[in-house]
Formats: sequence, structure tokens, C-alpha cells
Amino acid sequence: MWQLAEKEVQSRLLIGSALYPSPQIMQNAIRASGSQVVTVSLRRQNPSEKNGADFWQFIQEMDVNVLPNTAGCHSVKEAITTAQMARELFGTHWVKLEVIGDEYNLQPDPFGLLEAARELIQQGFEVFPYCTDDLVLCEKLVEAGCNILMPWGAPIGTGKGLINPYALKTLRQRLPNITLIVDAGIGAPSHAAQAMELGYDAVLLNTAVANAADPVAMASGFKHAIEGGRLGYEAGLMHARDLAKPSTPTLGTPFWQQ
Amino acid sequence: MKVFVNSEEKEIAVDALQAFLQQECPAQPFAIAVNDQFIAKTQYEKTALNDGDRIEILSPMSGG
Repeated sequence: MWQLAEKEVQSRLLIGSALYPSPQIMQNAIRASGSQVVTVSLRRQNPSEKNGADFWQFIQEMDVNVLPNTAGCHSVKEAITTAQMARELFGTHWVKLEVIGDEYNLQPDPFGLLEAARELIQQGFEVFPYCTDDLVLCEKLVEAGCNILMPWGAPIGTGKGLINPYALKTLRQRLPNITLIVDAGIGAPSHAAQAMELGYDAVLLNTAVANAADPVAMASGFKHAIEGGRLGYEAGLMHARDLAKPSTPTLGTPFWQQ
Repeated sequence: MKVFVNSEEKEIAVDALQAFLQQECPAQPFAIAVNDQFIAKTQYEKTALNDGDRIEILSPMSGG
């Protein structure tokens, strides 16, 4: 078990609820992932449909913690209002805070993110900021009261993996007491394992599972990769070196002549 | 008067949010914002509507 905000959870995988071929596959994939935290969002209600109610029913059946996001918000005001609406709608003070600054790569706006985080923390939210891997930004978010940071591995939905392992490693070293979760850009189980081997507390992903040919099998693949990566980190990885060193004892090598 | 509901123009005959929601009957669950301000359920009765107000009715949706 590990501590995520005020809750104890087993799984180190946080998973999204979007893009699945069907609600049933979504449920099966989330179950296969073992995840206990599922991200959700809010969108305008279409009076002629009841999609929102149906979706919420599917999520409630799963007995998971929900993490509402502020996806699509481009201003501090939009993000704060969306978070307030999410708190009432989903009955949680957790919020995955997204303030998008660039439409091309959906890069977070660091200035808006910090301002919104400050305000929401004052209002009693547990803020999970989706941020870049910039050390100074992350330190400022911690100063603002964030206990959890969610730096990107790569832009949302790209599946490129960890494009700047150095920056992510630096964050882990410099913020040892903060819960760090790689969010976005994960495309393969090996990417998730790499994040865990760096000492990250968890990984948040969606597209890599939902868009897989077999989302349920891929969810299981991520589950095992994350567990493997975490075990590797806890076991203590060997240090890489340039010089080869035989693992088989050289003493008593046959046919050896001086 | 004229208001905008999820950006669609609508003519309504009431001037209070509670009355508007009773007419509109949004599917549960939902959350409301008026002119970009969140309105808690406890405030529906006290919230007046004015001509040109922008009302957002949001529902749970999948998300990443």
C-alpha cells in the first residue's frame, strides 16, 4: 500500500476513462489494470441524451476513487470554476488541474497553473497539477501547497514515452518528499516501467490502453510493468558503466594459457 | 428574457435559477455555472437570472 493524498491505495497506476471502444471495454480494462484511481471530466449536457448519467453509473459500479480533471481549460478562471463544479458533481476535493497554454502540444501554462493551484488549495482542494518537468515551476507548486505533482512524460496522447528522463530524474532527486506521478505521453508498458525505475510514485495514462488493439490485455501489461519497475527501484538498480565486466568468474577459465 | 444555455440562445419566462431548472429538468447529476461563476446547489433558490446570462449545465464525462 502507498499513500496518495489522504488515501491508501495498492495500485500505482492511475488510469483515464476516455477513448475506449465501449463502456464495457472501459470497465474491463480498468479492472484488468488494477487501478483504484480513475480520471473523469465534465462536459456540457446534451438534453436529448443521458450519456453523462450512464457514464457516471459505469464508474460508480467500479468502486474506485475518481480524479476529476479540468481538461480543456485555458484560463485560471475556467479551471477554478470547473474544479468547483467537479467537487460538487463528483463529491471529491481531488482535482487534476490542467491549464493549457499551447494548443499545438497541449503544454500546460505554468503561470496560470500556479495561480490556479494557489487559489484552489486555499479553497480546500487537493490539487494534482498536470505540469511540465521544469524544476523551478515544480518547486513553486510545492511552495503553493501542492503535495502531489504530475509532470508530463511527453505531450498528451503522443505515446512518445519519457522525452526528458534527466529532468524527471532531477525532480525525483530534488523533491524526495513529494508524490510524483508521470502523467501523459506514456505509450508502452516499458515507458511506465522506466518512470517507476526513476523512483516515481505512480503513472497516469489513458490513450496507451484505450487505443490498444486489445485494451484489456494492455491494461494488464501496464499493471505488471509498473509493479516490475517499482520493484526494480526498491531493490536498487546497479550503476551503468562503460567498461564490460564478465559476470562468469574468470578464475579457472578453461584452455587459458599464460 | 433571453439567456444562453450551454451557448445556445433560449427564451425563458422565469427569472430565477431554481424555476429555470424545474422547467429545464436537466438529467442528474449536473452542476451549474452562471456567467462563469459556479453556483452551488444550496444557492439555486437565491440565484436570480438576468437577460443575457450564460448558463452552463455540465455532466460527468469520460476523461484522461
